[in-house]
Amino acid sequence: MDAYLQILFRDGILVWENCPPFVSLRQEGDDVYVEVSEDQSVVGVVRYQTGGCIRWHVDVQKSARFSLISIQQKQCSLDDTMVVQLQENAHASLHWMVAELSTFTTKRQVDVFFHGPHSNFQLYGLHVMSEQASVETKTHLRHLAPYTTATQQVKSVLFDRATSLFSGLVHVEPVAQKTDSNQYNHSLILSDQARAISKPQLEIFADDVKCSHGATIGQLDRDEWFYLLTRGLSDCDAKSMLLTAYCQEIIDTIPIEDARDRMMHTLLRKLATV
Amino acid sequence: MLEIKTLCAKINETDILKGLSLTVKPGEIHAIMGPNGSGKSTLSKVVCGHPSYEITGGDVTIDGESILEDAPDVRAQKGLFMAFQYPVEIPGVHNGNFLRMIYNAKRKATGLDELDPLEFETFLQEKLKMVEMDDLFLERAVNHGFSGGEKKRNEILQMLVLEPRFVFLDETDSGLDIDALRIVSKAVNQYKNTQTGFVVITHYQRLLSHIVPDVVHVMVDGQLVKTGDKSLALELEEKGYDWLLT
Repeated sequence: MDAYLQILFRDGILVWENCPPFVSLRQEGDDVYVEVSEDQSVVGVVRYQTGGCIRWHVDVQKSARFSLISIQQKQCSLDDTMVVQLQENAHASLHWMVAELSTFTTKRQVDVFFHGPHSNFQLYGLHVMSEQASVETKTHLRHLAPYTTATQQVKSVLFDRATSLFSGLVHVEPVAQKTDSNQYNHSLILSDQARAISKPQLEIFADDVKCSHGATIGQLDRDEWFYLLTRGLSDCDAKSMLLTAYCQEIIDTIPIEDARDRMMHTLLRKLATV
Repeated sequence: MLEIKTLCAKINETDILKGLSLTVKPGEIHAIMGPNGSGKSTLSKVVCGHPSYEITGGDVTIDGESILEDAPDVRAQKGLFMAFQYPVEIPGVHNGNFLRMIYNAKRKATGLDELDPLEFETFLQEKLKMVEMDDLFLERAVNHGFSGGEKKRNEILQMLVLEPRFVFLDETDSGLDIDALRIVSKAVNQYKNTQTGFVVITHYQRLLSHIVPDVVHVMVDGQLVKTGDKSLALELEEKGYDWLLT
């Protein structure tokens, strides 16, 4: 089983316990440096107790795997940046799952450098936003080596006047043949005043790659909703069930059952309040 | 008793139901046949309260009380059930939990305590046998990745769980192979009782040789144009609909 590291973020300071010896974790101001040693695997869950600014610098060594789960549910603003270096001769893998459930502003910038072949990056985002909340996600993936793979799947559920912006750029260098990179952004708009903006972009300079992108912005499916009501579920229960199902795909990427259950519980609490 | 009285309904300014009347008493099986586009599926959706349709005339009552102002879930609590022609897939929702939720919603509406998962499992086992499905079927997401036959069996399983008073089977035989048709029909026949009325919408006589109707209606252009006994279905199979369209 993967090592499991619980991290709290409060007033600009990260606090953690029992960091395994193969993970180097240190903070210098707003910058946090994480290095996962060769062949090792670790899951980190970060809970934001307050807002603030944090810049992650993640270095995943050869054949190492790092999964970082960031959960922001407090009523505060967050500026979250991640710079990822996936090293040469890597087979390195980074999975970042971010969940935003606040009513404030979150800005997130992700820069990934694929230096080594066979490295993999996954970004799974879930934004359940209400009131005046806004979330901005900008990603820039630079495939600099062959046989690198990436998945970006960002989903938003927007109530009230909430807004989401996704701007994703996948850049594939001529040398990065056999790249397999996809990015998807899906948004559900549940009020007349909520807004979603999606800008998926590809820049491909290699000729033997698989890259895809897509974006959807819509409302709950009326036929699915009707189906549940004909089974006797109330409007509220039916919507909650459909929204939970919509979010489930992202939550399922959390590799630790306990963290997954807690995330689902947090989501249900949020849905009960909107 | 379910009464549909000169019901008129439209969608996007197109009239679909044009003064349709039908009375279904408990214990009766009515079959509705008719050419494509005659409004058969619309009828079941309108009666169950689909919000895309606008009622422009007539009424639908259960035991003399109009249900047209009721939301679809309230209609379900009053005993209406519709087996969908195209059951909706709901990825991420555990089928077993879903069945328990809908059963408990019904119990709650009738003032009964909810069943816990263990109690519900005991209750469900007998129903699962009726549609010849095993427990693995419960572990999957609702209809997600189900074959056509599995989806229809899941519809019938939901019917068995909810024990409705009036059931619309909307082309339940479409997409079924011979074995699945037999299983679905057997389960309906086992459930059939003196308290439940059925409206079976179908294109084919073969379903009606398994679920034998008391009355067969032919629907054309939003109205029932002919009514007869089960022999009418055989006649339609032989002659088609042309002789009724002129």
